[in-house]
Amino acid sequence: MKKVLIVDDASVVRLLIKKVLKQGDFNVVGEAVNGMDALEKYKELKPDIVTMDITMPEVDGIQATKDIIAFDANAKIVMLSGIDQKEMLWQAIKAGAVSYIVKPFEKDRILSTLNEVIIS
Amino acid sequence: MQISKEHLKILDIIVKISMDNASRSFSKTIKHAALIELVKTELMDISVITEEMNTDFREMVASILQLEGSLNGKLMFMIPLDGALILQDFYLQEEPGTAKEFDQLTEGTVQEIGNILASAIGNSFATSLGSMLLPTPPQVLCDFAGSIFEQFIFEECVDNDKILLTETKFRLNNTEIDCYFFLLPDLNTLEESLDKYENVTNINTCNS
Amino acid sequence: MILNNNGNIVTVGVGDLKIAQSPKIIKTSLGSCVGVVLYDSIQKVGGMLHLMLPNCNDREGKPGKYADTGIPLLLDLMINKANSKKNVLTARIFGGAKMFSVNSEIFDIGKSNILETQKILGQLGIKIKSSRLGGTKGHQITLDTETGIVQSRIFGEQTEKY
Repeated sequence: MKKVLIVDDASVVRLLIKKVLKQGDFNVVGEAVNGMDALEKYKELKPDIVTMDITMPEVDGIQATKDIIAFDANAKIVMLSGIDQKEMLWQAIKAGAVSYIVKPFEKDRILSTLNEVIIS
Repeated sequence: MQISKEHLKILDIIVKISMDNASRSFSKTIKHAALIELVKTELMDISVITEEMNTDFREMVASILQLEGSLNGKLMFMIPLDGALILQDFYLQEEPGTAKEFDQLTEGTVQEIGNILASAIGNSFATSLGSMLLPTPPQVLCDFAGSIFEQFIFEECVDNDKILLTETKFRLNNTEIDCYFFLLPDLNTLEESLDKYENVTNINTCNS
Repeated sequence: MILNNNGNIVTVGVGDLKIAQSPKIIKTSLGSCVGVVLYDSIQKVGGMLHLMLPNCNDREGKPGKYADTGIPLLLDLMINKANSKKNVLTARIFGGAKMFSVNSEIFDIGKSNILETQKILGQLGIKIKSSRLGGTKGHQITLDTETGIVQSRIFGEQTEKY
């Protein structure tokens, strides 16, 4: 089972993503509530994949992605965001994200994207 | 506070398109149809709008965000407390009636719906205005409808007796739940953005 | 919004003031704003002001938004429109909560509103009969002009009579 770290400031979103991932071959090893927390948990838990929200208090998802990539250039980070704007997508890719899923979430889309990312 | 009639009309159209997108995102998020019952964009007298709101004595939960970018503004999603519990069940795909007490998950649901609606509005405006518009992390508060609304518009009321407000009312299909979404655009950045929008539209019209 | 208005209920918005006679009910919801209620027990007439800031400072706009212009205006309405005698008027004040603010620069405006309201009522010689002030939550107040009693409800607390 692949280890996943979920980063989102809303507990209800983390719960929903956990529910979805349980239906796939994933083990949620940790949750982080903002970008700063995400980097600490990444260092501690060494997950195979990270799901990352963008809009979060203190350190946002774009900065957190940069920070995690600076620590581990091979980190696999998938953005999960309601923001569907070209510039944001571009910023996420530049920061080092490997994929981008726009909310609202479809269960199959999350599972297939994470599986593709793991294989790649 | 000044806004031209033309700009008010453009704003009204962009808001209507945005709210169509927002209602689709909202419905997909909760796997339940959120129907738009009303969308209006008006320059409102602060006493009149708050009087209307103060007749509603219900307890509400609201998620307040700011929109930042080429257009600034404040956004608020507001739902009665009992409705928020049902919304939570819809969102987590539980049987209606599962959530019994307002807790962190209810708060998170309202926060997330605020995010989804604000992002949809930001995305639509960004497409129309050709620029990036991002919502800030939401702040959630529980209180009476009138008290929440008073805080939402407070800063704009300090220097103005009239505010430009867009109001959308949703009803969750097959339920009695109504919920509200407000956008309070900052007039200075709005006028600038709409000027640009008009110019772009004119150029496109000339080219076509 | 759900409109509970009927012929006997008068609702007051931000920066506004209204007077009414028995059997009418006057109500409002407050956050950091302060609600000032004046009552004339002889004529069974009540007035309510919903102020949002302490001082006008020569700003234009609704006088009812400010304590220093709104309270004298409410008193004027009670005396000159409702023909109340000043010496029978009593005041009750509510609200002034320290509410959540999107803009952190607006720091505890509720407290400033309370202090200015108390000062101005004192200067005008109007006795404050009762009050329920402060806190961090909204307030709903309902004045029954028949009795002069104000039902005050703070979010999360019991309704009390003042």
